[in-house]
Amino acid sequence: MKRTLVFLAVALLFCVAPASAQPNELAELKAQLLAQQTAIQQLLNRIAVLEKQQAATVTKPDLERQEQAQDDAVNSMRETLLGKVNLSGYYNFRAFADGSETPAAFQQHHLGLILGKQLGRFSFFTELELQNIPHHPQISETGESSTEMATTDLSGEGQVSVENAWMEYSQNQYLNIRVGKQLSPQYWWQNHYPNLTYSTDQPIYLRELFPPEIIGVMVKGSASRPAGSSEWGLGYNVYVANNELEGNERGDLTRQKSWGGRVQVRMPVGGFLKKFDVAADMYRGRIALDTNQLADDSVFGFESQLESGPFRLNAEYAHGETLGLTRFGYYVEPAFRVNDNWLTFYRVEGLESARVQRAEQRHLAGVNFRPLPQIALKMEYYRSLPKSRSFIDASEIRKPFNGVAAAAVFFF
Amino acid sequence: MKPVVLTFLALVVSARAVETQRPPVPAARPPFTIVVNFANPVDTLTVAELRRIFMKQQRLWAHGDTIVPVDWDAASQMRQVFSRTVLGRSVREMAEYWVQQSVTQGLAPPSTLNSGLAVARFVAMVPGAIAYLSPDAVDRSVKRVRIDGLPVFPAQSR
Repeated sequence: MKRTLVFLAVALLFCVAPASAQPNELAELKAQLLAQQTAIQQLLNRIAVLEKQQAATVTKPDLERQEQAQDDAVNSMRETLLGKVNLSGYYNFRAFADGSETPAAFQQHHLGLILGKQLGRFSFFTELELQNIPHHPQISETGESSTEMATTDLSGEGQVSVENAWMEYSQNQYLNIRVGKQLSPQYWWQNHYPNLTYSTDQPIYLRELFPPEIIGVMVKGSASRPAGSSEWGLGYNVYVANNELEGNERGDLTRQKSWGGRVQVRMPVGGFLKKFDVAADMYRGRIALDTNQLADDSVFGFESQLESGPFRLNAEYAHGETLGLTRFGYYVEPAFRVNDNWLTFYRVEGLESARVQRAEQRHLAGVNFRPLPQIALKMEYYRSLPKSRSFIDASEIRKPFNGVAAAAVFFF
Repeated sequence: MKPVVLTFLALVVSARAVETQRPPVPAARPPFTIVVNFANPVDTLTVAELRRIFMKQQRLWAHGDTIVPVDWDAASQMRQVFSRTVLGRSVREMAEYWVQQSVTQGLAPPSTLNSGLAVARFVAMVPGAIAYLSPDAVDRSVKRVRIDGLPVFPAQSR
């Protein structure tokens, strides 16, 4: 009996154990099945992604076509680079109103077209300029003024002039030869373009000292010496040219030609200092006086340009002498770059010339709005202070006056 | 006492093992590589010379070929880094510089391309060309030029 009971108990245990294990096995099987289903779904998703990628994959012919297109683009750019003429220009419209004898006026100040071309060591540069600047403040009512009178249109109908027409041969950094009609090497003449300057008008002394342009041969070059990550630079310009005869009414028939030069030192830059140049200029030539007589004329000057962080400072001074009559002029122009678009400036300038019987100091203050490097909108206030000097007839002394001017300049 | 000593030794040994397994910090390298055509004999330039080249203040190589600098597109990060690092000016300031050069000298700014592949192809095809590429993008079609004084940026640690 006992043995039977034990047997029954054991048999019962074997039966119950499997029965209790079945839910666990089922749960495990279900879990495994679920995991397999998840894995299968993931594989299906992966296959779908790969099929999409395969559809987007570039085939070999596509790659070859892309390569050919890149080659064509590179070839086109190379031919363009080697063959193109650089055509650019600028347009300057000015309006002013002041208390001088000249009335307020609109001035289509400049329309300049610039063509530049490089062929190996040779460069060609031409600048055509249309001006229609009635009542230009540098011209007196009687028309007696500097050499600008004869070349400035007083009729208001405008005139076209060739301001530059030169060819340059570049041997190396130290030696370059430029021939033709070219601007004087002084900083303001080289950078007198309205899209480069801050004010709407040029300094009053400018045309009374160094000649604005020369027709002749200029030799120029520069040398440099490393200084850390920057360098010292030494530049020179030496030229021989026709004399600047008043009004250019007659050609320069004189044997003696004018000559001049410039030496510039470029300081090393770094940190906030981006530019610091100083230069000395000189000019010797002959000038035709009202009496149809030629006289020797000599001018020397100094200039400096400084750019440090948002601050800029340009300054020039020049002194000239003709037949014992001296003249001098200067400007000092600090500026502050508020941000990429806004700039403020101030300029004090002066001219004293016994030759044209003029002595004046002028103060200008203004702002520039330059939304793009190619666009400049300018506005300024200026005050002119004529001075009494022994060489000026008392009746010719003008009264001080104020004025405002605005200009819109576009470079294209 | 013995368990403490053993524990300490175990900590020291494990720390050394972790340290030797840390990946090495990559060496600093310049943000770009200057490349020229293989026909160009120049091997080294200074930063000042590179600046003059890309500002077109120097137009000829010493061997007589015309220098043809190639820039990246103004919006590219590569261009902005190069402009600040070598030229010392922002891209906007360089645009103003080129306006000045255009009216005073009749010069046009360097042409621009917007992919490393196009830049490398151009340099490989034009004997006087010079450009800058990401160091990883330089292939065997162009020649690297060493630049003395080029600042390097520390590489990012992993």
